[in-house]
Parts: sequence; structure tokens; C-alpha cells
Amino acid sequence: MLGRLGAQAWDDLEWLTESELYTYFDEAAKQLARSGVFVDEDSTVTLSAGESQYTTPAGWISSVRVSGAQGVLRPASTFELEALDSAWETAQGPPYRYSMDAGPLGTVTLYPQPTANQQHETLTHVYHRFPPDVSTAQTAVPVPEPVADYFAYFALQRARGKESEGAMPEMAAHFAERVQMYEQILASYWGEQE
Amino acid sequence: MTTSSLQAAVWNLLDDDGTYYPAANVLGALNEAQRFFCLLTLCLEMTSSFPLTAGTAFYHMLPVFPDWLLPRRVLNSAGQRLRPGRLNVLDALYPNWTNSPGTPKRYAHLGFDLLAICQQPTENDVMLVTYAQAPAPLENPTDVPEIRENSHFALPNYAAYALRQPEGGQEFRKFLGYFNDFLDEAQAVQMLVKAKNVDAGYERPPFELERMDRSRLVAWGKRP
Repeated sequence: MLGRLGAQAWDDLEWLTESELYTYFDEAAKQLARSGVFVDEDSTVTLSAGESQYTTPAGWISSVRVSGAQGVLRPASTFELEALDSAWETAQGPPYRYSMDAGPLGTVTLYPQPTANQQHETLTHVYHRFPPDVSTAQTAVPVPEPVADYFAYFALQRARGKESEGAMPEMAAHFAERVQMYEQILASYWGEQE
Repeated sequence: MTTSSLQAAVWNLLDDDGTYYPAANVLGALNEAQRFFCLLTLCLEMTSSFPLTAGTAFYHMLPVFPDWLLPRRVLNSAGQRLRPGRLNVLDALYPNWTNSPGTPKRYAHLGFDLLAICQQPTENDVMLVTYAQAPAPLENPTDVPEIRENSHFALPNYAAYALRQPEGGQEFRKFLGYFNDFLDEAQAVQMLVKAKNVDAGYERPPFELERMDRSRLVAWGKRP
């Protein structure tokens, strides 16, 4: 990146710091994540009798599929659960629906509540996620190799666009076009499809 | 063309001998050029065996294939092709497919590298995966780019454009035409890859470069 910024060492750059650059990389990762390219699967949650709310996996953005031992659970809003069963909050049985808005943000609510028969069954969650935060201490992001250049162009766009002695508004505009082009490519190959 | 001849071609375009554009920077720009070319065209592919763990439905591909881009064709250990699908299709076909022992018949690809396999073998097994591949980086003077030789000329064009980015202004503008030439070559190769994809029954075509509006991307520049 230093060469791309017209420098050979960080000391040559008075208008940009290394940690600032990593902030741009992190911002790029977060923006990329919103297009649904980071998908993960989690099977670490086990059901407990009488417990309907479970914490979503770390970095969770949205759910693609939730399933239990009996198979896939259908998504439902709180309104749909209320229409389905006026006592939905206390109903018990093998879960066959899940709701992302019935509980606090970051929890998934199962309907009906699992009973002792479902105790210790695994909840499998396929979900869109944010990657781990990018910083000088955590530089790796799990992406295909050519996607690394997206991060470079995103950071160049930010670096050349900010008010500083290194500002190049015309180059920032060009880098923004390159970022947009990458986003179109990445969405067509790996974007949200489910 | 070898890496050293490509570097010479870049210096020739930039009217330099390595004084202003060091060899390491030129090499970095050539590698970026090849990565971007492969991303646009999906022109490289690799077939390799992938280990399956008994009873496991989901796999991340990047830890096993670091050069992974996209799946092109997946065969089970009996040589039968797995049909691509989405999770809702798998749910419709097999109500509890994540816990469904059997010979793998279908797969779904999600995000960068998550592959869901339906059904799951009862013992550890392998499948044969053909995937669109990222190129190996050029490192030594005798290394030859993996993309077809007819397209090698596009790499110095892109590298010269990339190396002029820190300068900006007129110095950069003069080289936007070379970037446009690079995209023209990538578009031509895309047509070949698309034709092959149709014949091979591959799931996902290359990015539609011909439908992309390049005007704002290269509008400044005209090839010198």
C-alpha cells in the first residue's frame, strides 16, 4: 500500500497513519459484509427446556436458515406468531418457527418453547456475518485473493478523499469508481442469493 | 512472456528503467493485473479432491483451497455430478437434509466459500471439485503468468495504469486508455469463458463486463 500512496516508509507519510489505513480496511470489510458475502454456519447452541430465546452467533447480521433436529424452522414475525397462537409466548413443544423480532436484537426466539424432549438438541444457524474487526493486530480477512484489491482501492479512495496534503479529489473519484466496480463483481459472484 | 519481459514492457510504457518505478512495485502491479483479469474472466480453473467428514453438511473452502473463487462442477466419489441449488430448494426436496445420511447429490454455495452438501456420507469421503481459481503470484524473473499467452500483453497495460495512480492528474490520465485496453481484452476472454461455461453446464458466468457502463471509469483518458 505504501507504494500506492507514493511513499516507501510510514515516516514518509505525514498525512496518513498506519492505524488510519487499517480503519479504512475495517470499514471496507463492514461494507462488504452488508452485501451478504460472508456466510457462516453455527451449530454450537443446544436447546434448553422452557427456554425460547437464544443468542445469535458473533458477528451476526441476518439469518439465512435456522434448523433443529426435526428440520428447517420457518421464519415468523411477532405479528404472525400472535395470529397463530395467542399464547405463543408460553406454548411448549418441538419448535417449528423462529422469529428474529420477538426478542431483543441479537436473539432468536423459537416457537413453541422446547420441552425436555428437545433438551440438548442442536440449533443450526446459517447466517450472514461481519468478519472479525480489521486492525494492525488482526490483518487477515477470509476472502478470495483478488478481493484483497477491493480493500486497497477502498482505502485509497478514503485516503485520497480526506482533507490533507495528500488529498487528490480526482483520484478519490476514480478510486470510488473502482470500488463500485468491485462491488458489482463481488455481488454477482458471491452476493446474497438466499 | 516471462515476468522479466513483462517488467521490461511496463518500464517501456512508462519510459523508465527501474529508477522511478522499482522492480518490486512493477511486480506488485503485474500481480494485481493478473488477479483482476482472473476475477473478471474466471478464466483459470482447477480440479482437486476435497475431503468430506462423515455427517457434516457445511464446509468452508478457502482453508482447503486458498486460490478458491467459485465452484464450477462438483462430483461425488462415485463420479456422479452434484446438482447446484439453493438452501430453500434443498429444504423442499429433503425436509431435514442437514441430518440426512446418504451419497451427496446436491450442493449449495453461499457467500465467498461456504458449501452445503446434501446428503452427507456416513463415513469420511472425498468429492472432486472443479473451481474457478485465482492465479499464483509471479515471484521470479522466469515465472510465466497463468492466463493464456495471447492475453499477456494486457498485464503491462494494467500495471502501467496502476503504477501511475500515486502521481494523479495528467500523468495518471494519460494511462487510463491502457486500462480501457485491459478491460477490452478481459471482455474478449469473457466471451470464450462464457461459451465454455454453456457447454460444460457451469452454474455461474463471469461478470457481465460488456453491460457495464465504463464511461465514468475511463472517461478521462485517451490512449497516448
